[in-house]
Amino acid sequence: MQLAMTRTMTGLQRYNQLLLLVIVLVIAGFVSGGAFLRPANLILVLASASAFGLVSFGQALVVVGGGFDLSVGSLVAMSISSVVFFQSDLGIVGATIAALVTATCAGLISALVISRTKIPPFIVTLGMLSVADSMSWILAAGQPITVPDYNDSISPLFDSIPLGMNVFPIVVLAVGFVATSLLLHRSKWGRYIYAIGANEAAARIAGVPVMRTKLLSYGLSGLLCAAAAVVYLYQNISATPGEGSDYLLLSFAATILGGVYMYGGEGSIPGVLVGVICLASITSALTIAGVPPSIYQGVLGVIVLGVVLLQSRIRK
Amino acid sequence: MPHRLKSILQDLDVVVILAALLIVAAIFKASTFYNMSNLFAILELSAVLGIAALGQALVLIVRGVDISVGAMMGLAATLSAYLIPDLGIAAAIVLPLIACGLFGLCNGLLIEKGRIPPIVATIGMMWVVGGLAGSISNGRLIPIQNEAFKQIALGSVFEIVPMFFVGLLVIGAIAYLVRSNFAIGRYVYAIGGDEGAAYYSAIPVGRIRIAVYGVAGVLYGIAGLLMASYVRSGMPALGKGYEFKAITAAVLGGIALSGGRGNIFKAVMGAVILIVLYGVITAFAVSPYVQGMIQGLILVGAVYYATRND
Repeated sequence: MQLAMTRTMTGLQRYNQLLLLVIVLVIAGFVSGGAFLRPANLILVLASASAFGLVSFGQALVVVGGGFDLSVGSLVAMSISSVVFFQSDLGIVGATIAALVTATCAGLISALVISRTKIPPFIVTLGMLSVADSMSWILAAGQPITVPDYNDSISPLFDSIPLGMNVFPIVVLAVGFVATSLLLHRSKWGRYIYAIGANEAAARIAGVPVMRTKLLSYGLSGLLCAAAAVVYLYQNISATPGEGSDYLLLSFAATILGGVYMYGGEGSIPGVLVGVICLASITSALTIAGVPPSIYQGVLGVIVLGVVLLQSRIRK
Repeated sequence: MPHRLKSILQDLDVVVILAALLIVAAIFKASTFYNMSNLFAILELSAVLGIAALGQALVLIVRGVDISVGAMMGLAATLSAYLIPDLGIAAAIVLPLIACGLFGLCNGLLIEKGRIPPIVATIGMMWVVGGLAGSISNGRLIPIQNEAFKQIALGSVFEIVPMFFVGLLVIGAIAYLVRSNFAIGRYVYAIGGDEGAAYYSAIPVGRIRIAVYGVAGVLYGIAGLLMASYVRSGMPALGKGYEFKAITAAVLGGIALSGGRGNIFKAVMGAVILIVLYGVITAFAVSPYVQGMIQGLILVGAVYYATRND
């Protein structure tokens, strides 16, 4: 009975998410006078969602597990700088691996501190935010960053395809989506993440390896931040150290819009993907409608607060 | 007697840390650290952070946390710089403070009535407030020409104590009076200590918590206005990172993240320590890029120190 109830609830929630997507797409179509719904634009929207989508999947793993990762934005910034730092010695492939490893280690350190001490996750990741932000300036020696290598080597592969520029970001996003979905919904580690998010003490008593599960989710969050950095460099070629603080806002908003429960224990990666697409659509439609970017932040804030309010109303 | 001595020493830990920092500065970098303009700046920035930390400390005591500090400071500064040419200095001080107070109350309402966790509500508010400030300034810096407003930062008592610091002392005195002479001072601690018990003691828990966020908003607003006067301009990013600094200062001052405990004056001392520490780091010509790293480690270290025995 309980199970049937839960199934119905999950089914409804999935339906809710799709409904949300349809509403957003229709409104976006309206606001932009139809320009938004052209296929070319939809592909652009998906490609533009790639970097923050990857970050959001990582954030979702952490939030479902009952935590917060405030360091994601700085980890993206740190990874961008890591690529530059390691590039001269290791070449672009080596530098990419080094950046992935560095960001994963940062996530692992956060997880280690969180599970070994009584410091709340938001303080630990706030500390990591500051450290990683520093690292991004130190690694880049405070200089503007330019890495044309990704774009130079990857984009010619898809030259023959219309809008081929956007294949790589979308493929990376798809890989991140499939990997995190399989982890959260088809593996025992996913079960562990849900269990810890719902009730950490109970999970511990039931024999869930709490610390290793947290190492996994925060570590993956770091790894995905580095993957997002690669996509960012592919798309933008140049960056300033410390750039990427927007990713915290966007990943958080996408996670919450995607139906992840902010206290942990509930949510799905497909839901988060919907959240990501909704956000990218809103941003795109606002741009087409000529709303100045300085206001986006406020609009997103209002949306997040509204959705969270709804979430807690429904649960009461 | 030894027990009493121990507790006094524990209360004085912030003073000991501060003294240690000042001695280190005196031994190694006396000439760069101990000159009038540097000390004046340190006192001024201490006052800005101290006032923001006071707001954060109040919120932490009622078992909350406020991430919207920096955004509120930015809004106050931007709004003030925007209003001052048309409406004059009085309106440019009062209106931003009212706005910050109202947004603070919204924080409280979202948390108390909307049942949203404080960290989520205040992060959301940070974006709303930041977006508002961004749309007022159009993403640019607004210079402030008003002489009287600029004088706030230049003013001092006996040419030694900056006006900012006098402001901090006045606000501290008000806080002290409220804390020791009015029931609400005790209520605030009671709510953080044991909300259920406070509720059954007929303390209006909800209203007080909402009010605390409102008061905190006004304090961030004051900090933002002082900062605007200090840099003679207003922009949304002016308070960037202050949420971080305010939490660190409060925790350094022994405010418990779990609520109900901590002395708000030690939170102000925590702010002074942090600013002096930055001063010392700068005097040692350490790369500014390393500051963030030190800041992060201090925050995590201070919370670890505070929670190790919980």
